[in-house]
Amino acid sequence: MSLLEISDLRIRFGARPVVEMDRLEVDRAQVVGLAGESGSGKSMTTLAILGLAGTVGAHVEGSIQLDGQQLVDLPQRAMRDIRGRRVAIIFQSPAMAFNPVFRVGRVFLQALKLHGTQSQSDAEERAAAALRSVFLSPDLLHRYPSQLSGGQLQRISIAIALALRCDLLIADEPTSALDVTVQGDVLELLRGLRDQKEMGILFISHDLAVVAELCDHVAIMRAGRVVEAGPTDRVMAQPQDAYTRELLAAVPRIVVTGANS
Amino acid sequence: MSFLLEIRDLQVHFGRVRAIDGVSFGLPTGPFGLGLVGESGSGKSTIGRAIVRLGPPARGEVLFRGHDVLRLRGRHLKEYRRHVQIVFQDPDNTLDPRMRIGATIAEVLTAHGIAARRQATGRVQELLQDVALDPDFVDRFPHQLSGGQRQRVAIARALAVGPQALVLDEPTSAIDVTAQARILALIQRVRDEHQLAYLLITHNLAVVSELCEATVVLYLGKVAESGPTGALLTHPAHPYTKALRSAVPELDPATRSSRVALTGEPPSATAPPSGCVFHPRCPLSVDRCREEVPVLREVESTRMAACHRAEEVLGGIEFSSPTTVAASGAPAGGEIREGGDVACRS
Repeated sequence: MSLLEISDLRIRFGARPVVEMDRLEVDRAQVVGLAGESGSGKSMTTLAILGLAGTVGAHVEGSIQLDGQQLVDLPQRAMRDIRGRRVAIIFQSPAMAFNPVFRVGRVFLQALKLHGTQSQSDAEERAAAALRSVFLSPDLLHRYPSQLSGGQLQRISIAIALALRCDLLIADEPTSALDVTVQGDVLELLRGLRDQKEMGILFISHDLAVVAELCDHVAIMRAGRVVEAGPTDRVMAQPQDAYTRELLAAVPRIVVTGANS
Repeated sequence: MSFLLEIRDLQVHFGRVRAIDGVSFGLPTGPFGLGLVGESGSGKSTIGRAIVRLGPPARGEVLFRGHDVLRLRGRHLKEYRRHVQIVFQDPDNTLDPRMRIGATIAEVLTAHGIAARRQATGRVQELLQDVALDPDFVDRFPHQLSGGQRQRVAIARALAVGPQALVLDEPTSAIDVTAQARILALIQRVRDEHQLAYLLITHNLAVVSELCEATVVLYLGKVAESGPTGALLTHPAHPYTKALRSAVPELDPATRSSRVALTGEPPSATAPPSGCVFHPRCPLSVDRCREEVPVLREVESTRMAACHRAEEVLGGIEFSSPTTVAASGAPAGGEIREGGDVACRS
């Protein structure tokens, strides 16, 4: 059984369907890319997995199973335990994910305490260890979000997921707002989570080149549907769907021609 | 070579912060694309804004056909702006949400006395067709258009005054992937049709490789390297260019190169490092780099670099093997790690 199994997922606003996803699976120690343009339903799918689709007024039907447990229609109290402890999410703009008036350490420790870490010293120890494993100094916990760079904040978001020992990480465009050299560092961290912590990662992105570098499998979404899915190398090398081909053709490439010199 | 637009020793200071610290380059007469590449905080947008005389006063020279535009005032400045236009990253912030598209573009025509209000409509429709938009869009509001369509409107508005040069400040960064590709194709087409020269500001080396004959790489307000785009990308002369190049994600596993990772965070212009501004993150830094500021010099015909070890970089020097990863919180000591696993799996 896969870590995450989505089948016959239907998300709609009133009568209007926005996602019709027949199948999507994420295994342990696997990165699955969900790629598509704005409005394709990528983010709605992540909201449904987190049990938050209702907060934006959407209605969810079908099946979302985490380790065999059905998440659709799970009571919010039970869902709160799953969010954070089993499933974590990191966002495109980490600056908006942190409350600007609190030091990041306070946010970090609060997350740990809400999810069962009892003592202050235990929580501090776990936070420090998690920061070290994302190559940051634990001293940064004393800073405010405004005193940290986007790359540092994104790594701290990842560290929180790590400290909570989540099984599934949803990464929603986690590098789109970062500089390209910093993006490389974050991608490397995600690979580490997959290979060393055996985390399953659902990686949402519009950038197929990033997907090609990171993901084991990829599902291409358009207008709420998965138009093509499969092993990343196969989809990139032999795209079957016309839209996949269009997306691939749209990725700017480094072309070096003699005409330049 | 005489340039259409030339920047000489440009300095832009925000208080005591030297955002732009002595930048020089030239843009030839069109059709020509010059890429200005750098990460956030490198000062690339500040240069673009200084060229069109937005933002704080700059020192140094910006020459348009030999005339210093930094001294222009009143009528002369307005006339200069007919020749050099700017397109911004996010059309949402530069199109008035309460004005119809037609009125937005017509305003430029009447403001510059190019067309009277009555005659403007026909010209506006031509301009819309020029950027492959339906002439009926004159009656629409910005919110009725997609991001890509709004960016086309911004380009049409810039073209309305018949400029010779454009400053394109990250024109595709805020829009969807397939729309991006179409905007890039549009830029290519209008450049040839209108004999345009442009300065394309971007963080994306792939965009530069498709649209620019020459490229300037900026790091913390200074030029790290410049030269013909092809040569610069295949054989970088500056370690920073090499790191940037290696960080670009590639679709094709065969073209992926091993990553030259940089330690530490990009430095802040409020406290620039001593010597070479890149030395704290540079895999090749030696004692000299900490002490002596490298001057931008010709390292090969048509190629400039500001690096004491540019010849070695050009010669293909090995970037040292993986070392420990520094805690990014602390200012890095200059260790590097070469990206391992997936990036090198070719």
